[in-house]
Amino acid sequence: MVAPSSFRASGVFLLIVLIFGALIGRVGYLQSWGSQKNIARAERQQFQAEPLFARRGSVFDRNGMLMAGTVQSQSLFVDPKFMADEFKNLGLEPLLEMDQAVGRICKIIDRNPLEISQLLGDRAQSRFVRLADNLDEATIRAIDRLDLPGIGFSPSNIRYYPMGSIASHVLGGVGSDGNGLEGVELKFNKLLAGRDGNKRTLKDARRRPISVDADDYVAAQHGQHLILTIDANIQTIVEQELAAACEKFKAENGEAVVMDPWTGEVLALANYPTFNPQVLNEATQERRRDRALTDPYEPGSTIKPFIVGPALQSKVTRSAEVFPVNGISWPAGYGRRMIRDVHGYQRLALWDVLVKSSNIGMCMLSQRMGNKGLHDALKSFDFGKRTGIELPGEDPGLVNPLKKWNRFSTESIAQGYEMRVTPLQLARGMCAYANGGRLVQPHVVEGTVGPDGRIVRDASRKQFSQAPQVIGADAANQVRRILCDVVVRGTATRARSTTYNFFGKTGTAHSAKNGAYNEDNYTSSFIGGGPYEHPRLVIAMVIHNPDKSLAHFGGTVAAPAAGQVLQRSLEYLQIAASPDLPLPPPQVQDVLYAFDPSVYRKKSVTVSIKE
Amino acid sequence: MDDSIYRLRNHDLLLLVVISLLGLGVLMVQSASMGVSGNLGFQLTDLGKKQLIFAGVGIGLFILIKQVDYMRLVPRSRSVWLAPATWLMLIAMAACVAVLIPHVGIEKNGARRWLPLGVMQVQPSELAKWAVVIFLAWWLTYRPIDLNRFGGFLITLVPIGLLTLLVVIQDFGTAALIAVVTLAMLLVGRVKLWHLAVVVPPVMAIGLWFVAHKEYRWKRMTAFLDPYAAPQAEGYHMIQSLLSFATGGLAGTGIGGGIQKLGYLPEDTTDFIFATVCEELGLFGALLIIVFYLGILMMAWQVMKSKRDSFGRMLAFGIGTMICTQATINLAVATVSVPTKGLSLPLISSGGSGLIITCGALGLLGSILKHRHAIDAVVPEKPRKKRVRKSKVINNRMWSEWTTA
Repeated sequence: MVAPSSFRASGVFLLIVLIFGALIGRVGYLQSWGSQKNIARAERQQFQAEPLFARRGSVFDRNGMLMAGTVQSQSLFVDPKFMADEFKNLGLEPLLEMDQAVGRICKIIDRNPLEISQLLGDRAQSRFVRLADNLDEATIRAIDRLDLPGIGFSPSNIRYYPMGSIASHVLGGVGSDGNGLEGVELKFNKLLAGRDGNKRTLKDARRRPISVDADDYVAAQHGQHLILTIDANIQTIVEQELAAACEKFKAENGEAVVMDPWTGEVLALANYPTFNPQVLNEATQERRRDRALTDPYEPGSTIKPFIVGPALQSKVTRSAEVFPVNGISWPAGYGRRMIRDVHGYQRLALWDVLVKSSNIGMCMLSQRMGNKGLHDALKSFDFGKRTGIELPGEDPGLVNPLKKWNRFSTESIAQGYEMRVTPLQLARGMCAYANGGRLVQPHVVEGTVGPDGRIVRDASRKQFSQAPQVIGADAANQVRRILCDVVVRGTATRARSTTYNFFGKTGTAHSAKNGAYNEDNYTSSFIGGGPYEHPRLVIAMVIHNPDKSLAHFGGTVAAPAAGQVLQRSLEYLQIAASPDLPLPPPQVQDVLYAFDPSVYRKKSVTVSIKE
Repeated sequence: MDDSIYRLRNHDLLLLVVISLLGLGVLMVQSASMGVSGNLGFQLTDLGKKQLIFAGVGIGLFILIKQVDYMRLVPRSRSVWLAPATWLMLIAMAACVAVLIPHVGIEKNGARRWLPLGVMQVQPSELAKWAVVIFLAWWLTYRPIDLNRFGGFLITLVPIGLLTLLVVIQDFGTAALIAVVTLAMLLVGRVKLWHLAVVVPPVMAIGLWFVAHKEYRWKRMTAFLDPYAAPQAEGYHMIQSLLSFATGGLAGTGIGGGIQKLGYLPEDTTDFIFATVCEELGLFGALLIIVFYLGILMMAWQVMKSKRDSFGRMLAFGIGTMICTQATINLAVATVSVPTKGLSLPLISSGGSGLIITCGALGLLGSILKHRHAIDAVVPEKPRKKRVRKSKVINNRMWSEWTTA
């Protein structure tokens, strides 16, 4: 008998205890600091995160007609790895079978099978290859019937513009990622897009869902709807007339803005040529630009009312004052510069200076006002400042600071040069004459529709009574009456309506090409509104570079189209026909050029019905 | 140990430890084998049900063997061939050979390790490791041949070496475990240290060569150093085990709350059940398991340090060392501290025959705790006759006659 050694046994046991101690330490380490390295990997394998897509809000016009909406459609995707594995499991040659499968799918979705095979080959280890978007029901059923492994559909949202190119520049469009790229889609992208939610699901190794923590579920916040101030009918009228005018006179491009003078709401905002927001990427950047507010131009004669108004207001002149125009040219600026008129007159009342659009008369008036007076006049209508309309990319235009003006500026400004305005600014200025002197804020957005379905209007929007009075009501109404004569017996007679009394001012400006003016490039414009008694609409229409061999005067190119727009829009709005215009005040009648009261009488009241 | 009504006797304490470990095992096997079924309410899984039955059988066997005097393992004559330990070795060897025969041995997961035996399947390697412990405890204390001579020492190694070689074919982990425990028992059994010094290095060298000369074995052995080097191949088990510890954290996810067991962690009810325990019970679970194993070790130490018969002390040491060494290796594997071996966590991992055999071995430890023999206990000349007639009281009186203390 040999007794075992307790000493050696204690050594062995001590070793075992020490190993246990070390293992406890190891476990503690792996569960605390040591887990840092592994925890991300564990979560990656145990949880599956998936986005819950928010639906983009729709855009409606002021009457609730859908202008942009989102519909859910299906995208086709392939899991090439799964497909190959399935074919292998069935004992088939995976590459051969996959090529056949691709061929059958391609026949349905109308794609090149070689291209798709190449794509799948390149991403053979991928689990998700998107093959086609925006599939219709019939296609989906046809693909379903093929009963191929590793083929699936995933819902995707498609933006639709049911009105086609109508109001394309206001709406803008979205890119392939669904984010707005132009127009209100861009400006209100955040509001329209909403916020995507997400869900993180705990899954077992066979990817069966087990649970979702409350913290791991964030519901999608669907986008809010947008209601525009645009009236789709007026917008259509404007786009038709603008396109017709531009095509008739072979113009390069044109813009038109129609506003409600009392609220500043933009009822229509059109550019020619338009584009289709559905396929935004097919339109050039040039074409997508909303020129009505991004491209200021030298307005020419259309600026004249905005000089005459403040002059009347500050009593620099009277409407009956007579200017000795004396012919078609007048040496201004110390005789070094000739101011020219199209028609020669001996004497013109201030009234007729506007009606006949006399440059010489305007220069005489502006010399009397001085640079400061002119500058203040333009500034009072906020020219050179952004209007703050809810559209992206607005340009402030240009009115040079007074210290940059020189002695030639007086005459240049009086004829609408040396400055730049946008059609939107002109329309807004015209609103002040239409509504009795208040400078309204242009708006294109009426309100938003939140998740509760209620319309939320911008609370900070100013009431009409809060709009700044930039010109006295008397002076404003006086100018508006003068502008009626422009349509009746002045430069814009082609805009005259038999139903309504319109007021307006034409402009024909040389436009600079390659940094120099020439005799071939003109900008023809018309700003105006109607009816005179209680103006409901104001329009600014600008047509760039009409073919000079056809016509180039504002009164010939822009005014008839603008008149048609006003006529048709007022008819659409069911505005009552105007009575005959009141005659000019007696003291003005005395000094008017070839005054004939009979021209104010309407020839006949016929309702024009357009196809 | 005094038998007292005031305190738990050591063999009762051991019973509690065994029941606790088995209970924890049933709980964790049930938890680890649960999956997503879609049924509400608690349901025993197949594995959980099996484990519950095996645990019951194991406890029964433990109590049964505890009642039997372990001295029956010692032969009454000095003949080696009449010793039960020798026969146990022979049976183990026969089983290990039998399992290698096709159609007899059952193959699972690419390894032929199981022998069909009536209602259940037995792993011969489980049998072999306990045969070695019993054989060595008897051999080293009764010394049928002179172990102080190098020749005698070498003869001792022959049957053990033979059995280990038979085991290594089917189960490298168990063979390594047998080798380690053999080394510890030889050390404690007062074998001359220079004998060990001569034999151990060559054996280790051969083992190392065995592992290193085939590249795939070496790759598998060194994979634990950087499991992320081959995350889908050799490193997969280890990475999933590491992720279990990371997911559970120090506090654990709570019983049944583990995620890794849902198909991510392979062998989650057997070799890597410790990772599941730690994921669900946190550091507390790890401490609980280790405390229970230390309890078994303490029981063995109680026997080892007391003045009593050498065979009992040696056997207790062997059993305690075997259980705890296996547990340390399993824990080390689960914590990715050593290369992966196919060793289960004793009493906790699911698995029928191993569990019951382990319970039987622990019953032997219980028997040693319960039946105390004198320092130089000699085998009673004709014990069987006397014992058959004896009541328990008389039995005790008879032993007090043998006891010198």
